Parts: sequence; C-alpha cells; structure tokens
Amino acid sequence: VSSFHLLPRLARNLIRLGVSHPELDRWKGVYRRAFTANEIQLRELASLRQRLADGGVRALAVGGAAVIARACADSGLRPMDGLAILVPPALASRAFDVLHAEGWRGPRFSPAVVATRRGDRFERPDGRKLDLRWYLLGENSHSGADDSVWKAATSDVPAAEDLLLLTCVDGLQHAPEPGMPWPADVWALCESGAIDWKRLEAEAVTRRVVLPLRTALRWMKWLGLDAPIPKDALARLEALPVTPFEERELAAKLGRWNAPARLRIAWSHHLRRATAAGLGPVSTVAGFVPYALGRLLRRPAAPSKIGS
Amino acid sequence: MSEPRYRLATPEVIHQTIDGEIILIHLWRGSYHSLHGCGPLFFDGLLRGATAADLVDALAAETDGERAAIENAVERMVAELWRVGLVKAAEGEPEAAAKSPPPPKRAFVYPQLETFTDLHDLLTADPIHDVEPPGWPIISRDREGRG
Repeated sequence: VSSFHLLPRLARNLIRLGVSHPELDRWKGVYRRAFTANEIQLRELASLRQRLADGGVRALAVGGAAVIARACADSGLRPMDGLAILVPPALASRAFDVLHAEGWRGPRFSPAVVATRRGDRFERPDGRKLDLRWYLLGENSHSGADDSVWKAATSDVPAAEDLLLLTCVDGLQHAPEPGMPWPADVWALCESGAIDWKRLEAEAVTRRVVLPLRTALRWMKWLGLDAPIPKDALARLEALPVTPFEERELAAKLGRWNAPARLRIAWSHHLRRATAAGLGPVSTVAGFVPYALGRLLRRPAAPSKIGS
Repeated sequence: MSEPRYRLATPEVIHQTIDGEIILIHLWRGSYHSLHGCGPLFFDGLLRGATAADLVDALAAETDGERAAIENAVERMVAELWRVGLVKAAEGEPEAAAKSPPPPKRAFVYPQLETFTDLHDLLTADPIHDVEPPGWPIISRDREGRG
C-alpha cells in the first residue's frame, strides 16, 4: 500500500542508515523525480495563490503541498499528485474567475455548485490538475463549517490536525486501495509531532466524523504502519460514542461505490447542513431533492482535453 | 580590481543533496542537473558567494588533489555552471563560512555536471519502469524508442 509514495522516504532512510540494496539507485531516482516535480508544482502553487490574492481571495494549500509544508523535512519525500487549494465559500466565485483567467479549464461557477459540493476539478491543457475546494470536508459543506480551519491556519496552510482529519476522512474512501498516499500522509503528520490531539478530537466530534477518523487510524495498525499516536489520544477517540447515522454513512463509504451508496452519503452530508442551519424535518426533506440533484448530476461544463 | 565572486542563481535555481550528489533544477529554463565527483565539496562556497580561489581552497583542504589539477577543475566547472545558468555574479559582501574542524582528506575525483534539458519529457517517464539501473533521470532506450 502506498508503495510508490513511500519510495522516496525509503531511499532517504536507507541512505541515512548506510544500507545498500540492489534497487536503491532506482529508488533514489524516484526521490529525484519527486523532488523535481514537486518543486515545479510548489512554484506554480505559489504563483497561483499570488494571482488569487491579487483578486482578493485568500487560499490555503491542502493536499500534498500542505502535507509537505507541515510534515516533511524536504519536498522530495512526498510525491504530489497535482495541486489543491481551499478558498472561503463566499469567495469561490472570484476564485473561479481567476482560475479561468489563468488558463485553467473547468466548470463555470454557479451558486448552486457552492451550495451542493465541496469543490471542483480544474485542468490545464497539458494535464496538470487542480482541486479547488471551498469546504475542507464534503461531510461539512455548510456556512461556517471551516471557521476553525481558517482561524488555526498558519502560513496559508491548515493546522496539522485539520490536515490529519482531512487525510483520514478522505483516505477511507480509497482504503485500502494500493498506491494511495493517505497512510503515508497520516504517518508523516503523526510523526511530525505537530498534532494538537485534543483539538483534533473536538473537531471530529463537532463535525461528526469520529468514526471515519478512528477507523482510518485503526487501518494504520492493520497496514503495519506504526504511526506515533499517543495512547491516551487513541483511547479517548475509541471511547467517544458514535451514532447509527455515522455507522451507516461509513458503511456506504466503504462498500460498493454505486448510486444508492452515493445517495446515502449525500443524505448524511445534507443532514449535517440542515442541522447546522436549524431546519425542521419538513424543510430538511424538501431541501434534499435540489441538494442531491446538484451533487449527483453535475458534470464539468468543459470536458477534459488532456493530451490534445 | 577584486576577483569575481560566484553564487547559486537563486531563486530560479533550486537544489537538494542526496547521497553526496547535488541536484539542481533551473526552473526558468526547465533543465535538470546533477553535480557529483568532488563538486559537492565546493558547493557550499557557491551558496555564500565565493571566488574561484575560495573554491580551489575548499577542494584543496578536503581532497588529496594536486593544486594545479584542482585549479583546472574549478575553472572548468565554474565556466560550465555559468554557461548553463546555475551560477551568477555575487553582489554584496560574501557570507562567512561556518567554522568546523577540517574533515579527513578524501580522494580527488574530477567534479562532473550532468545536464538534462528536456525536463518536461523526463517528468512524463515512469521513474520505476522507464529508467536504466542508475535510476531517474536516466531514461531507458526502450522507452525513448516508444516515445
């Protein structure tokens, strides 16, 4: 699992320990390639954030760039798979404008998109990818959901515990698919020593994502990645109650990815929004139809033309 | 007239060290370079803004090379680094070197700079399966033929 993403770190560690291995040169090559590609992408990210700032939009780095900033001693240790940024939902419209002006291809902005999704995918003609997000987690896509993220962010990168939460909750969607970087990211974030475990716990409770968080941390043990997680923090997470609502949501996430599962997950996300907005039962049910249609039926307006 | 000083052409050039090899990337030109042999031993001088004589002194202190051979190697290497845009003229005062006890001398190996100008193509290659045994960025002929 995550073998490709772990090779640069493996090469670094073997060199540090003076261990020789027939494949070490090849793994060093993976490190060289990761460092090179990442530095180019990080430079592009800095340039893009400057353009967004010029347009009045503050953007936080998320994804690989953020994990590198928070948990990697050097940028070659964690291969990046494109760029990802988080902008305030109120400024998503401006962010769309800046991205289109900068030559990124993607859907057109509409208020319904911000109301029903957590982000959209943009691409360059040469295949470079960008995830524009206006909510950190799909589970909490409602006004004010990320206030604490913006407050805790430093150097335009979310706090380590927000990144860990994001990595675990999103990562489970792919567990235990080979080649996904999330277990390596969880390990690196835990190992960085930057996690405020009490804040992480509080965020997980507020966002109602305790179950995916602790399931992802259990996966780490199952995968044989002995992440340095404080025993008392893990014990507190294990002791937190979870609702049948969260259990059904996680089962849908880990099961077969089909229309009923997507509908189930859309419903659970919508319930969080409705609860946050203080909606009654009738309004909650009535509001689900446009929400689900917006989420499930949206397709990019400009089809990808990678390689053309 | 004072002797010219050279320094790494930051910010357009970034670097990293792995296992005694210096990786250099020229972001504006899209080129990739690997400095090895005894080159990494004088690289610190290029970060501080050093004269060619400073670089020679650094190599002479750390290797068993003959002074004339070292001078020749440094002259050629600085010219090559300048040609590919990795160094430029240093301005202002040179930064002081950190004081540390002299390391044991090692064998003098002529510094070498490998240059790859097709960075975009290199980045499309699979770093596990499309490379020769020395690893990326040495792309296998089979893959080049397919491309």
